[in-house]
Amino acid sequence: MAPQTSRRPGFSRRAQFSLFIGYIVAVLGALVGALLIVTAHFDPEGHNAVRAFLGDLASPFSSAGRAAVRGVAGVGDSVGAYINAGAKNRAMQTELQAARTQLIAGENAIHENARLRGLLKLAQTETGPVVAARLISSSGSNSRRYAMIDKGVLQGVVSGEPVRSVDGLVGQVVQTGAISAQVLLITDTGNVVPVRRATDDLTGLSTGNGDGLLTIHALVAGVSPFKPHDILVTSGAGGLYPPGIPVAVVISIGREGAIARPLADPEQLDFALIERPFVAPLPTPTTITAKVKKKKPKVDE
Amino acid sequence: MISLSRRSRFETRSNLSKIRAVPALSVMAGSMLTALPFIANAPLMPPFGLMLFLAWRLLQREIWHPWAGVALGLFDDMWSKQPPGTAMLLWSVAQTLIAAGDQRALWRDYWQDWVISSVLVAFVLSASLGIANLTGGHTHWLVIVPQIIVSILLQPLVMRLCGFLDQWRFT
Repeated sequence: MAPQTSRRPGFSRRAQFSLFIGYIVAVLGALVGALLIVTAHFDPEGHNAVRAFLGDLASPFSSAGRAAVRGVAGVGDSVGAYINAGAKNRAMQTELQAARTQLIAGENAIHENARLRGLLKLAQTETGPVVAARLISSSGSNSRRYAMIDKGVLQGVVSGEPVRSVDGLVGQVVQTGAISAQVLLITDTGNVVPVRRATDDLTGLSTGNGDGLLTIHALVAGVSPFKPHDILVTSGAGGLYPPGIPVAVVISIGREGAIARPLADPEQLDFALIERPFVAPLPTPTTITAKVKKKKPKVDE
Repeated sequence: MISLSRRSRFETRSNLSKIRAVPALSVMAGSMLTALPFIANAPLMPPFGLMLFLAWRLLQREIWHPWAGVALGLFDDMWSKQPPGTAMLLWSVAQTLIAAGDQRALWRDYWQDWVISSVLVAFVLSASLGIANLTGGHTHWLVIVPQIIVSILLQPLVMRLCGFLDQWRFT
């Protein structure tokens, strides 16, 4: 096909002028884009404000999409539930009986737990979750690993708060809009989580690989002391992430450290809990030397 | 008969707006695909907005205003969670590169279109990775290679879709 150009507007002044303005707008727009990128580097706060605004604009669409998907899935469930109502009723009756006995056993365990904690003089440092949110979308075509949640400043979400699910640690809130917030997942390459092995106090730092896996760098020199099938939990070092949240399970030993798979799979995730940032208790003089070795978790930007 | 129907086609306002709106709306829909309720563990989803943008441009020389890359790029930035401004800049650059190429080339056909869009998609994705890493990531370039390959393989399908939409918007 021979290129035929009719971009040349001919002798019409008006056409020439509007074409010229079009090019000016294009160049200015591209420059504004470049400027926005540069501000991301030099003025993260202003940049995050722009991001949060755009995120707020996008979040209702994502929420609606999520609701639609659930709605379609729900229709089948309700029809099935209607057909199975009788059998289900009987099953639930027996389940209820079993649950009652378990409830009593559970209450007993709570009392025993409190008594043992008192015995060990463990402080109850955990605070309840700030808010439960739904993960509505993610950066599927982007090299960074962000997920969007449908709660924002209006619901009390603050930037920097850790996000977890029932299964384990999800990430950290990095920027909040009015009705949405961005969560930096632990699989992102810019997210560092201090972890320790669940069975002993072997500590390490976990960073994302960007492909859904984590690399665990041990804090001791030499060959990685982690073994496959090791369960890693947050160590709480440096604050932010409360200690004891399950993070990942080691699957292999790589060149730069152990490769681990996160326990909370964001693909399967629906709801997440946003918690208050953990404030590490002040170290007593004897533990100061031990604490110095541990790096602070890197807060994104 | 044909000439009569064609005249009436351009006289009605709704059809004219359809002819004008379909390309931009299809690109915007492509950008919004990333907002589908899937939480992705790895960057695998092709940049459908960009692919449609390029396919329309290669199909119809003068379909976009010079500033279309800026406007549609800004919309894409809303959904892609890249640092805002990334697509604004890179889409304009891609548009300019095609225009510069068209001035030199005597002709191009299906295969050239595929190569051009593949190179540009790879360029935009790599540059986006660089910009994303500028704001705090340390992602290795190898992580986006699967995404680039998937995008290149899907590009003919996107071009076919554009061709279909191009016919449909005139009916």
